[in-house]
Amino acid sequence: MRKAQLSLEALLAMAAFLSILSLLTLSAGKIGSRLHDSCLSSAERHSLAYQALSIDEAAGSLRSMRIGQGFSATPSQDGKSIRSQKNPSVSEYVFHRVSASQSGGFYVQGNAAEPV
Amino acid sequence: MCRETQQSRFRGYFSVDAALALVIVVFAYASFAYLASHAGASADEESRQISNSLVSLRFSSFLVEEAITKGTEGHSSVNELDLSRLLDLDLKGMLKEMAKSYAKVSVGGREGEIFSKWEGEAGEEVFCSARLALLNGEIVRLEACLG
Repeated sequence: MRKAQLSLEALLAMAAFLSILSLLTLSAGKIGSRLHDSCLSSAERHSLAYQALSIDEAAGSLRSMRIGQGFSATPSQDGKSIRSQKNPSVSEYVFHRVSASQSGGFYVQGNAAEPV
Repeated sequence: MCRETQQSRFRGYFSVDAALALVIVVFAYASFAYLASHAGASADEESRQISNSLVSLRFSSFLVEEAITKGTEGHSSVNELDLSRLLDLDLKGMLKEMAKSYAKVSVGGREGEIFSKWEGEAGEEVFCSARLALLNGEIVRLEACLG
């Protein structure tokens, strides 16, 4: 009788311990996941900010052109901003109207009829 | 006999060591959560600052580009500003498009401010970029701010 009572208590204690452990693990996972998301969107914002800078600077001096490849962003439908492919909630306004080029990169629509 | 057993069991489950271990675990976990949330907030803040600084830099480039004097056959003089072009700028429309609340453009020379135009109300954070340009052959400083 005494033996059974002890093991029941031990079981209860183990259950409580495991519950707390799983709660902590889940919570830590959630915090880690939020941190990961936050760092990812920061990195995307960094990348987009520099891509927007290169688009605007190049477009400013050349008006109508296809700006190189290697951009990870996609232009919005109205061409007023670029959006991250990985994280669509991150976007950057661009001062020159842009559209996507089929072979990668962007067309600046200062003079869209004559892309270089 | 029974009382002794109960006392020792009580001591086993609620010992000072176990309580201390629990406090340490809670403290370590709270520190980890605090550190993680601050690391995330710090990364967000840094990227926001960089993004806003670069927007103000692009804004200043755009303003210089818009205000450059057009010469014959559409050729523009290098960084030669035309103040009437700056005056015609639709800052209100630009603010609406950029979803910002404040924009200012000013041109300063040796004698002080030559031209200034702004729209909206400056909030707590305003990001400015300045660049050199020419006005009637004189070197001036064009400053563009966004908030």
